[in-house]
Amino acid sequence: MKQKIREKILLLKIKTKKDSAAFGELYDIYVEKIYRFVFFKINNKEETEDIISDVFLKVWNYLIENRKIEIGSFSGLVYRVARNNIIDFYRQRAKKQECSLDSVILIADDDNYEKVEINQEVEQIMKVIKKMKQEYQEVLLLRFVEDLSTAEIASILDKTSTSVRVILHRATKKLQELMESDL
Amino acid sequence: MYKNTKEQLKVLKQNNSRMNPDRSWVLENKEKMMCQISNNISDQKNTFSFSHIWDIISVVLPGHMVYSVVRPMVVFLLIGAVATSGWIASVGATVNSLPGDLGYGVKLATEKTQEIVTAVTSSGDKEAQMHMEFASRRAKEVKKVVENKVADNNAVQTSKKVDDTIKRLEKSIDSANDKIKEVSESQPEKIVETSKAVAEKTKEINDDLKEAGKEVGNAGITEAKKKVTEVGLNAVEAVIKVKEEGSAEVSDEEVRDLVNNQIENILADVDEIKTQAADAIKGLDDVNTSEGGNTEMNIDSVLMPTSTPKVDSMSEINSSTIEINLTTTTINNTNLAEVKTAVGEAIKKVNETGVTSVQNLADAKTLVANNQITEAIEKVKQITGTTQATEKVVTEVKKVVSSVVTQETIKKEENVVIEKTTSTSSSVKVENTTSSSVPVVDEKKISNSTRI
Repeated sequence: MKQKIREKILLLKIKTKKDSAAFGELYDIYVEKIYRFVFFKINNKEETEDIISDVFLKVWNYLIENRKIEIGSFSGLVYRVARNNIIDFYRQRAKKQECSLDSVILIADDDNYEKVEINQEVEQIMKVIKKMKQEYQEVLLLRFVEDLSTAEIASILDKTSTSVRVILHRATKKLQELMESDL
Repeated sequence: MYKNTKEQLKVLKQNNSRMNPDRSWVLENKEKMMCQISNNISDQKNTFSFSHIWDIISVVLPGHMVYSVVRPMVVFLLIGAVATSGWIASVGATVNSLPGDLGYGVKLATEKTQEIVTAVTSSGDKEAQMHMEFASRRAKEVKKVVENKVADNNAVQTSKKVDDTIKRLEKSIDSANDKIKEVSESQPEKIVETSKAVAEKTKEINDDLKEAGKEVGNAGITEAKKKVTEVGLNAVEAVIKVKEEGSAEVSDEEVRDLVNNQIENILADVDEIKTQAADAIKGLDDVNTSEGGNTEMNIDSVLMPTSTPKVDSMSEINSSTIEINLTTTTINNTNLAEVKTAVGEAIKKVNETGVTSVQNLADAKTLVANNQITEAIEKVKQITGTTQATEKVVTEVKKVVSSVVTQETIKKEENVVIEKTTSTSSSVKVENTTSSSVPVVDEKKISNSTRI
């Protein structure tokens, strides 16, 4: 609750005074969540970093240019912008006909001896989730990884809370089935 | 059933998870982003907006409740209070707020609400009077802002506040003008009453603008006065039109009173211009050349024309085109003398025009007495144009005189310092090489198309 009020105050400062320090605070709160959300979809560190930079700048510009529009939740806004950026990314990639990465494990090539930490548990969950519908993936990530409420998820995905609850129930059930079958 | 799955999903958030960003990248990215943001923020000062109040309330209350419940309730109450009584507009704490004050936005918002309510609930004549009332408030605000400028000590900000308020005043005048036309067409029986109310407000507004204009030579104020005078004349013309068309009963006496009222206002304006011209000349008279040559003007010969101009016919009276071309150049004895001569000539012409105008106004009064109202109004309009033109000239002269006086004062102060330095160290020879740029007369273009 305190966090919510703090966010609202920061948003108010941005709207009334174009306070960049307030935006910096919001960036600190949300950067990791948005990074996970984007990485979950893109599976590429560099591309994710580019997208994140773009997302926060777009959010700032939107807040400054639309100061008279009511913004219910900063979280909803930033996730929506991130989601739209991901869609744009996929569209551009489809045009370039790049191959998408199926594996979540980075393989160090001959020139790059980067050490990779392979978390087996993470790998397994990710593999399973990737088999599910996009909608289910998003809802699971936002609900169980980022701890967002159904109302917030509804705002991000542009659906009703009831729809989100239904999708969440189905997604969780599907995930359970896939986890059990994988074992 | 799903508890285990949920726990597993939470593993994705662990610090060593690949799904988390590098800490160094987060900090680096933040720095870049803040740099880009800072470069893009404009220097424009943020002004308080009434909508911020809802944003503030939405911090503590849910946003949807603020915008869908609280705001409509407050607006409804506000409209109700304004519709049933005008006390909010007249007694409320914000009624005395000035441009730049915190409550000024509320004051304008209240007037806007009143405008909407009046448009819905009242007729055109009430709307015309309301717009004139708003214009009157703007004029009072301009006067107060100018009075406060000394305390503010910020000429740029004062100038901006004056300009913005003048724009709002002109907007109200335009709205009043439109409503007067509407009244003459749809409610001709109310035109006389409306015209009287407008004439009263016109005088009030012009008096306030005159006071403000004395302190600051603002071209916007002069233009605004012109517009205000025009709306007064338009109201009188609307009455004459209604009388001629016979759309309502208008007595000759009412029309004569309205026209005579306008004549009196212009006479007052002409007197005021004469006074301002005299003040401008007196200021310049105190300035002598630095080498002792006295180029003091003969004030009397400037203020009193040598002969009384005659008017042959009304058609020969046109707007005065007395001009002074100003350029910046180095001031010295020769130019100062030229300045004084040119200013003196200009003021002389202004005063001659003033005398002509007074005579012509007397003629207009005669026409009114003889019931030649249309001719009288035409004469009054022409004299108004001439008066406004001469007022512009006097404003320019005042600016020139002010610059010259300031420059001379600086020069005198520098001379005093140099003298002190010379007296304490006789071996040091200092030349006053101060050259300054000040608006002075480069070319004299004085052509007066007022043929006498």
